[in-house]
Formats: sequence, C-alpha cells, structure tokens
Amino acid sequence: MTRGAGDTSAGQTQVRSRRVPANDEYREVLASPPMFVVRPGDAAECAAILKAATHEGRRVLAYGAGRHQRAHGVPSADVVMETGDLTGIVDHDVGDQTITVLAGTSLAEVSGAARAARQWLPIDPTGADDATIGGVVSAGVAGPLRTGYGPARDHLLGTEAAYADGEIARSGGRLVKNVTGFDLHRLQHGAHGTLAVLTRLHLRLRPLPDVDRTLVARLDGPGLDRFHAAWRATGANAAAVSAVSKASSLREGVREFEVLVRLMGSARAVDAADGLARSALGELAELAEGEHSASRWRQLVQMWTPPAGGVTLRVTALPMDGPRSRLGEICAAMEDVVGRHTDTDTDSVFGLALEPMAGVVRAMFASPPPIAIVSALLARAELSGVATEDGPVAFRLQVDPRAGGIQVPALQARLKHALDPRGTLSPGRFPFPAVVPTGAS
Amino acid sequence: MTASPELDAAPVRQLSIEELDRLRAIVGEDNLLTTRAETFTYECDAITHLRQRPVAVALPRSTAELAAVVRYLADIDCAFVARGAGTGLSGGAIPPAGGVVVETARMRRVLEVDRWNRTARVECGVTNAAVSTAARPHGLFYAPDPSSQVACTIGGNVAENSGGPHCFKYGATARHVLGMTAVLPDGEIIEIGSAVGDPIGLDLTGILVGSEGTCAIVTEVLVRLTPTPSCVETLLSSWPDVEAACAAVKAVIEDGLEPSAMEILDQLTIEAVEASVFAAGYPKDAGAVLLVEYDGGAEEVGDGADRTEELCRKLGSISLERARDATHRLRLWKGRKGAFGAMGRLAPDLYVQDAVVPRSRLPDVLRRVVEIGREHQIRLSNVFHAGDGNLHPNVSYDRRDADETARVILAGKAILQACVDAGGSLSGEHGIGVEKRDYMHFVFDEPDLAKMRAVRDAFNPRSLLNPGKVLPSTRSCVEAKAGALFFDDPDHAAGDDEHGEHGDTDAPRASTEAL
Repeated sequence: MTRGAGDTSAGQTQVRSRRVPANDEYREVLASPPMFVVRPGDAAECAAILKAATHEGRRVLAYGAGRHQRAHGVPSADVVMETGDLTGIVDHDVGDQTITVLAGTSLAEVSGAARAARQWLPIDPTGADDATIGGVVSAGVAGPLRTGYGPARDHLLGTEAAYADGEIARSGGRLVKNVTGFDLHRLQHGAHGTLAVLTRLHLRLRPLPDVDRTLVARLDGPGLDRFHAAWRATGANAAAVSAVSKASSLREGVREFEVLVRLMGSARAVDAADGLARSALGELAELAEGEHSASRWRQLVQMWTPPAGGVTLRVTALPMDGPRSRLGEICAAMEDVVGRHTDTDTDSVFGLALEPMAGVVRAMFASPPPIAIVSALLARAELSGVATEDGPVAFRLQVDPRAGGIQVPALQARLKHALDPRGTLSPGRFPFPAVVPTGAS
Repeated sequence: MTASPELDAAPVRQLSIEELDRLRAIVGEDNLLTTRAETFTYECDAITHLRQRPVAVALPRSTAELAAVVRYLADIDCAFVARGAGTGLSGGAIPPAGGVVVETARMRRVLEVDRWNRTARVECGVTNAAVSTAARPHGLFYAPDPSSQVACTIGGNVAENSGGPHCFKYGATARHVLGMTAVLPDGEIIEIGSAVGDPIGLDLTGILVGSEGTCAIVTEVLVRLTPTPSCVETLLSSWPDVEAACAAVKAVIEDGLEPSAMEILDQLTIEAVEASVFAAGYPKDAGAVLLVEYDGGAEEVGDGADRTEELCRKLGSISLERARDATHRLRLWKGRKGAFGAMGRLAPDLYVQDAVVPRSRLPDVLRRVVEIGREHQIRLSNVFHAGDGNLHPNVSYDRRDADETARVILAGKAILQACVDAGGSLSGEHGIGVEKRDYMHFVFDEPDLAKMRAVRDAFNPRSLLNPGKVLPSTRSCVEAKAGALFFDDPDHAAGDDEHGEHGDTDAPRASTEAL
C-alpha cells in the first residue's frame, strides 16, 4: 500500500506507515480496525497515497488529533491517514492579519503564533488544545465564540487539498476578500474529509481584544427565558453566550442554569456591554477577567464531550418565538422525551448545554440513551434537527441513519462522485446515496 | 476587460414559434420578450463592450414558474442565463449564443422578516437596499452593501458573493446567507441551508454563494440580519499621495483597530468628484483622501475614531475632518459613492478594474499600478476598498480610439499580474464572469480548475446554465499561456454607441453601479 502498487508517483514515495496493532486506538471511530496507518510528510505524499488507494480500491480516513471523529456516521476505512507530520506555520503576514498553516497543525500552535503578534483566531471548539486546524475545519465544528465571530468557515480564506485521484488542488487564497473561482474551501468545511484531505489552510486572524470578561449568573428556567429575550432586545454583541444546566437528571427536571456571557473588546466597550448584560442577567454569581475568563470557557466546552462511553446529542431549534424566548420550551420538550424513555432511577443524563443565540442545545448522556429518544426528538415540532456530536460506534451506527438525513441527497452524491468517484474518502460518514447519472444526453 | 468575449461552445439553436409559445404559456403573455427592441437591454450587463443578443427573455413570477421555464429549456436543449438587475461588472449575465435570459424582475417579494431570530426570507429579485428597508423598522439591517445596492438584486448578490465598503467589518454575502431555494439546471427545485445550525452533509449553500450563476438559479434567499449600530463615526483625512494614505490604512490595521469601512480616493478621482454633482468638499490639493468609518456602540466607536485621528496626525495627514452629524457624514460619503459617475467627466468610457492584494502590500502595489499607468500612457485613477486590500484602478478612455483601447487592455492585464505577483488575486467582488475567465491561470493551475469544473458539472452537467463563464476551457488556458489571446475589435465596439443608451453625457459608458 505504502508504495502504491503499479503507480509511478506513489512508487517514488517513501511513506512512513505501520501495521495497526490488534487492539487499536481507532476502535472508537471506525466500525472495524484499519489495515494500515500512514503518516505522509507533505501534500505530495498525501496525494500519492490517495492515488494508490483509489487505484487499489482501498478506503481512507484522514485523521488529525481525533477530537471530532466521533460525530456523524461511522466511517469504514482500510487506511488511516494521520496528518501528524503535516504540521507547521508556513507564513504569518502580521500586517495583513492572515496566516498559512499545514493542516495537521494544532489549534494551540496557531493560537500561540497569533497571540505573539497580539492577534487571535476566534475559534474555540472542544479539544481546542490539541485539535488540528484541518480537523476543526473538516468537522465544521465551532465553540461558543461562534455567537460573536461565526463558524470556522468565516475565518477560512482558502485551502490546498489532496484528492482521491492524486491531484493537489487549491481554492481561495491568503486574502481577506476574494471572489476568484469557486470556493471549494467552503465546501470542504464540514465535509468531514469526504471530498479531499486538507493539506494547507489560509486563515484570517483578528486583533486580540484588550479586555476579555465573563459574567456568570445562576437562573432558573423562566429566568433563562427572561434573560435571553432581554439580551436579544438590547441588540448588544457578546463574543459568546451559553447556558449550562447543573442537573444530573433530566427526569427530575432542570432546576438551575449557569448562564455565561463573554464580552471582548476595548475596556470602554466592554464596560458599556457589561452594564447591559448585568441588567439582563440580574444578580451575578461570578465575574472572570482575562485568563480566568478564557479558562472558564475552556472548562465549559470540555463539558460538551461526554465521559468515555457517553453520548452528546445536538438538537437545533429556532430560539425565539416573537419577543418570547423558546429556550424553556425546548428544554421542556427534551426533558419530556428523555423522561419518557429512561428509567426513573437511571441518572444517565448529566447535563444540558445551550447556545441560546444559535438555537443549539446539547444533551450530554453519561451512557447511551435508548435509541427511541432520537425518533421521539425528531417528532417534536419545536425541534428542527437532531444529530450525534459524540458517542460510541454502536450508538452512532443505530442513530445516525435515523437522524442524519442530508439535504438534496442526489445532488450531494453527484458532488461526492465528481471529486471522489470511487468512494475512497471517509465512506460511511454521510449517507450519500448511489449516484444516478442525470442529464447526460 | 479581457479580451476574449468568445464563449465556450454551447448548444446554439434558435427557438421556433411553437417553442416560444410554450414559454409564453408558462410565464404569461406579458412576461416573454422576443423582439429586438425588447431584448436589446439584455445583450450585456454593466460590462457593455461584451454583448450577445438573447433569443428571448422570460420573466417568471414565482419559483414554480421559473423552474417550469428551466425544465422546458432543458428539455429542448436551449442554453440560458439568470439575470437580476444587470449591474454585474464581469459579464456574468451575458446570454449564451442562441440562449434565453431568465430575468428575476417579477420576483420582488419580501416574504418574511423575523425580527427576533434576525432573519429575512426574500425572493431573488428583491433589491439589496429593499432588504434593509424592510428590516429597518425592526432595528435591523442587511450588512453587505455593494454601491449598486439600490438596483442590484439579492439573487445577483448571492451569485457573485457581493461585497461593498462595509464588508470590511461585516464580511461579504457568504457570511449573511443561511439558506435558499434554488432551481437546478434541469428544473429541480431544491431547499437548502437552515435558520439554525449547519445541516448535516455538504454545505450546498456555501458552494452556491459565489458560483456566479453557473450551478443553479437562486429564487428565494434566507438572509441573516444585523442589529443597526447605535452609533457611527466617519473621518476624512487627506494625504500628499496614495502611498501615504495606504500607509495610514496599514497603521490602523496593525494597531488592532476594526473600522467598518476604509476607503481611499486618489487625486484624479478627487478632481473628478469635486467638479461633479457629487462634490463632497474633499481638499482639491490633496494627493489622496482616506475615509474611515466606525459603527457599533458609542464607546467602541469613539475609541476607534479617537485612535484613528491620533494615528493620522502622527503619520502626517494634511487635514482631518470628523463628521459632526448624519448630514455631514452623508456629504463625506457622497463623493465616494458618486466617484464612478463623476468619472464620466474625464472620458467617454470607463474601465473599472477589480483586484485584491494583502493589505500589507498596498503601498507597494499602488506604486506599481501608478507606474503601469504611466508606462501605458493611460488616464488611471484609483478609488478602492483599502481596508480589504480591494483595488479598483479605473481607466478613463475612449474605446473608439483603437490604439488607446489596446493600451488599456494591456495595462489592465499588467495590473492584474502585478497584484497576483504581490500575493493577490483577480477579483475582490466583481467576479470572473467572462471578463477575467482567461486570466484564471494567473492564479490557478489546471488541477485547481479541474476540481472547480467537476463541482460545476455536478450541478450543471450539460452546461446549459450560463455556459462559458468563470472557468476557462482547457483550450483557452493553453492559448492564454502562449499569449495567444486576441483583443476586442475597437471598431466593432465603437458601433455600440449607435444604440444611444448613454443619454447622460456625464456618465461613462461602462455602468459603474455595481461597485
């Protein structure tokens, strides 16, 4: 495999590879163990491996730090392609506030380089310390900062990627504004490596805000709704807003939410927003500034990842019904569904985490809940989408076919087929149907 | 302006009387245009030197009608293009040979404004400005603001991923589109995106925004609305030359400030503006003026404006003016917004170039652009979105002068090459269309273009929708690399004037609305 039988370009490439031990570390990601693990040293090697794999009919899963591999479907792969040797900052144009990095570079390394120039990349997904930038973009994940700064897609200016046919292709560029050509990099965001393996990314950085402050209040359900509506009405901007339930069992009902508002900017701007936030929150339980503020949010996103064997379900819903917040109603619907499907004495749910502005509610279960919960959640009109964000293979194999309907499946299949005709990359990740040729006349 | 208006080979056919009747039956008697007088306007967009007459123009009134038109055209193998207001500046809406224009002027309803979830759903023919007008009573606005916003449509904005002065802070169209209804080239209606979260699977909305009308026709758009800022501050500073103004922009960015807009006008532009109805009181002796705007809460806006003022003084601005009130602010912007209209005083034709460079390279690139103007003996002015590194070198010329026209084309190409050499690219907001299609190899190699073609073909396998745009054919790539492009025939171009569409003698022939 590593020499790509019968293929010249792959044959010239010496790629580090190893046989996978029987009890391998990928069992939480893949339905069955891969045959090989390879670590290409550059984009050319990456492309050569893909070409050889396609030629041999082998399936490949690109793998960064593995932080977001347990979401959306269960890929089946013969070869795991680790991006651990595709690391480093290629160029940081401080004056332009742009940076070019190899895909396997950790978010922490990118953040460190940015911070040294008083800049930052406002992305804070789970596993932020060692998550790779390629993985974060491929998985299309975003943390609480999405509220104020948008998803990773909004900071992505361009990519270089290796395709299943062994070609390396670019789109976009290291420019903050650019409409030259089709933005394939936007298509790669959230594609979970089903179209290509990202090898290099161009990103936009932002000036590091002078002040980072987090206000925390403890509110009951109606209090959360009142805060949410009041904060919306101010029109003020927060970097992030989140609510976390401390309840250990939804069966008992959520009694209290910890509501966090993160304000970033100049001292005077933060002070002004601080006043508005306090009036919406009421009495504060806690105030964190600077590094304490940042670490408060790192703790919060860690909670989104369940303990080993646990499950995170991500539910989306329109957060407002006119001037009224729907958060309480959404939580009640979830409590109702979970309550009906779990045993009274099973403390399987350990929390709810809400991104009120985005209409996202995460339910974290300490152990996999009954599958019927997913169908029941989907049946609730209040909720517009359900997906697994984290969970064991066995659970995802059962749940995602029910929850993971994709929009316009035939078109998505044609796109997949256009870029990866033999299904080399991440098969099983999304439910692409078989391609039915259309239009050819 | 390139050179080669030649479109890729599309299935060329003339429609029979029966076929036109079938189209008429779908859209209604009044909504199918077929005579030369009726279809004349649709020969080109705002790049007026590239033209092709459509065989018919259909004006559907709904997604269902538009889909029926498309389905029928696909059935009879007739190529077609969607058109909004025709303000595009890259020839993206030029009809294919023997093709039909599907115009969205009859689809102008604002379907819903959801004040509390901050979204609006509008039909594709709604103008950009009308979305903000509908949102304003709710304390919201639609952020992308191309200068043609009074005329250009949301459908066109989605196709082009349009920007505008304030996308420096708010981002271009792609950041504000949450979902859409669109019609595929075989007539299938698709619903994609979501008001909340990202749907599972490939980001179809993300790839359709900016695909320049070559993948699908968007018919309804779900957009994100933004709270109207409570406070705005506008500063005008004047400088001895463009390089000094660019250095100020660089300093503002490096200082970590985040204005909502940063725009530069050079001396020739200032002269034209001040001699026109758009006079804004810019200092006529200045080599350049820089407009900087902040919006948001009073504190952040005040801090930003104070710091900018301090930086400008430190860097040697000749004068500095801060808008006292809304009227004053509108006056300061009047010159910028009217700059392209004012250019009509300089020459009968205006060629508006569009390119992007890293902001850190602005002063060097501007110096090179001015040199290229001199080398080619052309009248070159610069008015541009400096904060984004988005240049608009403008050439005032007379296309009846064949020699001058040839120099303009060569200079345009040299400017693009200089921008690309500095790490830049071909277009910041006008798109590639047909105008820059054959320059794509400046930036992309064949494998890059092949993947883009593969994506387009997955949507548009028979190339019936807007053929020959954005992506060069393999053949034209080779020709361009070999320097075998051929130029417009100036004699032919001069003939356009006989149509007399330019009644306003102060306006140059190329419409500049879309800037």
